[in-house]
Amino acid sequence: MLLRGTFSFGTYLLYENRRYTINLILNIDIFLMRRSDLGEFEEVVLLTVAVLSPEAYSVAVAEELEEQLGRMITTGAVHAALQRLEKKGFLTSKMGEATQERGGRRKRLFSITVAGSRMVHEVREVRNRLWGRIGPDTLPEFNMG
Amino acid sequence: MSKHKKKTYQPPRWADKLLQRFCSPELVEEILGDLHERYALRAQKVGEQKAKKQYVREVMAYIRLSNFKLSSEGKNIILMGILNNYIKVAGRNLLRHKAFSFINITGLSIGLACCMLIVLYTKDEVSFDQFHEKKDQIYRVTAMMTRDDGIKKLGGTNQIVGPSFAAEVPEIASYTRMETTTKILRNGTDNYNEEVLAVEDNFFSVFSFPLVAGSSNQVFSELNTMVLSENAAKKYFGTTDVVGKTLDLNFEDQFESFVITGVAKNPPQNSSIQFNVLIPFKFGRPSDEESNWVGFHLNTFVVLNETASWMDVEPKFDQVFQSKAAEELKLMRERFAFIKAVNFKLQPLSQIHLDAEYGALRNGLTSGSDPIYSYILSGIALFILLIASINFINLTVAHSLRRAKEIGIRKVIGGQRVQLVIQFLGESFVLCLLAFCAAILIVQLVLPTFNELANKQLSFTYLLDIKLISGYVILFLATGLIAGFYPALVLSGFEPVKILYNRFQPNGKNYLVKGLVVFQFALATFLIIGTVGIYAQFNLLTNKDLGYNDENLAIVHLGNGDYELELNSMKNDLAKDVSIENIAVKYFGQSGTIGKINNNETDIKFDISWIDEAFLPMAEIPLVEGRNFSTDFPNDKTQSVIINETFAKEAGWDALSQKNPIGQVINYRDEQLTVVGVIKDYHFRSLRESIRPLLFKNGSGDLWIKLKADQIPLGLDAVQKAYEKVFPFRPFHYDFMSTINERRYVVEAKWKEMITAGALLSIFISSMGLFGLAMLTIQRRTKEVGIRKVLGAKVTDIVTLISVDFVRLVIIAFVIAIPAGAYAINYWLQDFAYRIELSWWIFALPGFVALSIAIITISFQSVKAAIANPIDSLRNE
Repeated sequence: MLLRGTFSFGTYLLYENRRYTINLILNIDIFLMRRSDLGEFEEVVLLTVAVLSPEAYSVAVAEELEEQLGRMITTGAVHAALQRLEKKGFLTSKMGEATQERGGRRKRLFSITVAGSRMVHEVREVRNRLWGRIGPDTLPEFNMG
Repeated sequence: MSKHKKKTYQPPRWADKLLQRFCSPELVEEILGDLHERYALRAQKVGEQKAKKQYVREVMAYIRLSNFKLSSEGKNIILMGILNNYIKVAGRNLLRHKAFSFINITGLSIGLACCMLIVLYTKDEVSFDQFHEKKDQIYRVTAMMTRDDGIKKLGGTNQIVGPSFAAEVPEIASYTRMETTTKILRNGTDNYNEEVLAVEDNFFSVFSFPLVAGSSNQVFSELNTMVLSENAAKKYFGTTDVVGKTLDLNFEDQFESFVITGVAKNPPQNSSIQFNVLIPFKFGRPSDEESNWVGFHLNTFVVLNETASWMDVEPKFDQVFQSKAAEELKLMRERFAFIKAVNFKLQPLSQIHLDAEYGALRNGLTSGSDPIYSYILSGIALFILLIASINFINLTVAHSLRRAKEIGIRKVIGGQRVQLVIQFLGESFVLCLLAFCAAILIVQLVLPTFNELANKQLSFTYLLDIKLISGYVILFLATGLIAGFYPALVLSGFEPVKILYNRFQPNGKNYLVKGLVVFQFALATFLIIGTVGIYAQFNLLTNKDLGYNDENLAIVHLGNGDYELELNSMKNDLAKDVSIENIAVKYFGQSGTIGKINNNETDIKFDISWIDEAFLPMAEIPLVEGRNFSTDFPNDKTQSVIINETFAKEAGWDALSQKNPIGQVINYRDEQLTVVGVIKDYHFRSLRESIRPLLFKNGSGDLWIKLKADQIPLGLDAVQKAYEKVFPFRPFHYDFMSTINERRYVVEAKWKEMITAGALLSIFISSMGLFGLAMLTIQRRTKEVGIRKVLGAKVTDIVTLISVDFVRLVIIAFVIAIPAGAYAINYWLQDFAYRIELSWWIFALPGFVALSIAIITISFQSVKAAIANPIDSLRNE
């Protein structure tokens, strides 16, 4: 009696957990598939990672972007974008070396995956096509700089 | 990275701590590293000062859901799995142990329903008169009379009080007075008795009673005007569109016509001021000035300035009163020496309802309510909920043996104690939720009965109120917590090895369960003792020999005035009627007054009333000495009186002083009255008071008729005919003396019903709990019972064996309940001049009842166990 009870109860618990895990993973996949597009900020972060590769990590990307865009970019915002891009499969990461400024902590280094490469190329294609189709003198003149 | 200098920069530490605490562990390293590195870079570039400022923004940017500990996916899945499992296990437990679920849910839902009703009741009580816009500025002027027998508070005032105070006290913005009278109202040819409230022109601007027709400051601009409530309009005209129509009111036998100028919305039920028909106060009072201050026949309300404090206003009243009424005060002192002082006070409008102290003279105000009812009812409801919660605690703890294995396994596979506590608390909340839903249904069902009991018109829509809903949610949470907390703590504390290894006996003695059972039954027995005590006293009140015969004794109220002629005519008409045994005349009530005796040397306070010579024989009140009034003595009308024994005793006319009461002279309002007879004491007031001195004069009053028991309807018909002959325009109105006597104890009857309901519910829920406990005990001892039977135990032995433990608890509870019950009954009985003796049976009976209910409850289970075939219980292991 005791054994049977125990057994059934234990398996029940395991079974329940597994079923849930499977369900949730499926759900997350579906969730991600739908959101495989690229936001504007994500796009520049992705490109910056390509520029800085193989030394691309959040602080470097943030510094680079701050220089390029001319406004304050927090590391946190970059970090979040990097996380998202990794989840979408455009980036992979590994832990790098520790430095003194980081208080002996390691940094996470990012590199572009094949999917990421395809994505930036696609985006560029779209832009180029659009640029090519803009008629001469359509854009009003203005003074750069 | 090569360009950095050797200098190290240390960012503020708070961020490290914050992030280490809340960030999910696998992210902490990179995030902190990023922050430190960025800080160092910034400090180099723009200096530490600025870097520190920007650092805050950097840290804020990391506060994202995705970085939090909780959100890590693996944990979420486990949490949801566990939650899902909890709900399933809870549901299965409920379904598998139907008896326990039933006991718990029934008990808790009854307890919760009681509490809900009480919350409704108290909400209504405290919401009285809160709807007036100026509620914080409106006060009633009250009078406080200091007499040599104590302080008497009066809600009434005289006409002069309002205008005089308003003229002298600057804080008073305005005043308004009101007075009710019962008038005969004529609509075409139909006559009705109607309470008519005379109010001042500013009534509708002081109080917030909206008008559906008419304008609030114009309705009383003419003298013969009238405002009806919607109800009254519908009653008399069948519609509320009645402006311009007329109704007649009878003033001193003359009908005056009133034009309806407005219709008011019915006053809300939680309004102290209730009205149907309003007429202008100035009607019939052409000269407003009535110079007497000491008189208390109408209500005066004042509206204070917004900035004024009523505490400051009260002392000014005394000054005004002393200066304006000096002469009257002097006169009063001479005449009524027992009145020491009169002071005028203020009473906030919102306090009127719950202040029952201020006399019976209401004048448009519904009778106040004693807050003690709220307390008692809340007490009983909480008792019942407590008893039901105890059931839950006891059953869950006692039931834990069955759950022990589940708990053990949960712990073995890594369940933590906190998780188990959450699980069991959750189960108690699930149960409470079910009980809560059932409670709402119960409230719906019993609300009409409750309304009758509590004298209210509460409706379920009252529930749609934020405060009330939140109150109920709190009630629900509190119940879930109280009922579930202890079991959760005990059950989660089991040691898994012990549970799983061998037979497990959770806390063998279990004093807590026993203690709680004792507590439950003590409460229930206490309430039963209260019930028995109240029944006994009520029985005494309603069945005590009052000293006269009130059976089939009808009174026809004639109202104020002298109706000698009409009375005689009716007497003549009815004298021949066979269904009427006897006719007499007596003034309906009696009034307290004062006179002088023993050669004007001593004052005596007494009640006075007027009777004719037929009254005493009809009511079967015997004479102890002297004679009744008689037509043979023409002087009786003016000079003779009859007194009761108490009067004679108070006056000192007894055997001891060798003074014969007969022939003594009483000076009453400068008349010399001679005592001609002494009647045996009878209870002319309620039994709450002892008999007071009573004096009868020979005079006129209302019509009293003794009907033949078997011909009451016939007799009443005859009386009505005779009445309508002499008063053609008046509605016929009568009362039976026996009903009047019963009505005196309405309050006691209400107490009786409340306590009885409480006692019934509490004993019912307690015994349900006992039933469950007995069931569990027997299940645990099935094998023991089997072996005992095999060895030759008789059925009675086994029943005794099982019952004796519980019976002992009930007896202990009984012993505890006796002193508490005795104290409570004794306290309650202090209000009565005539009360029951606290004899032994008042306590023995409840004890017997509680005990036999307990024994019967247990026997259901124990007998079943005792007659079961031992083979069944011993066969399987």
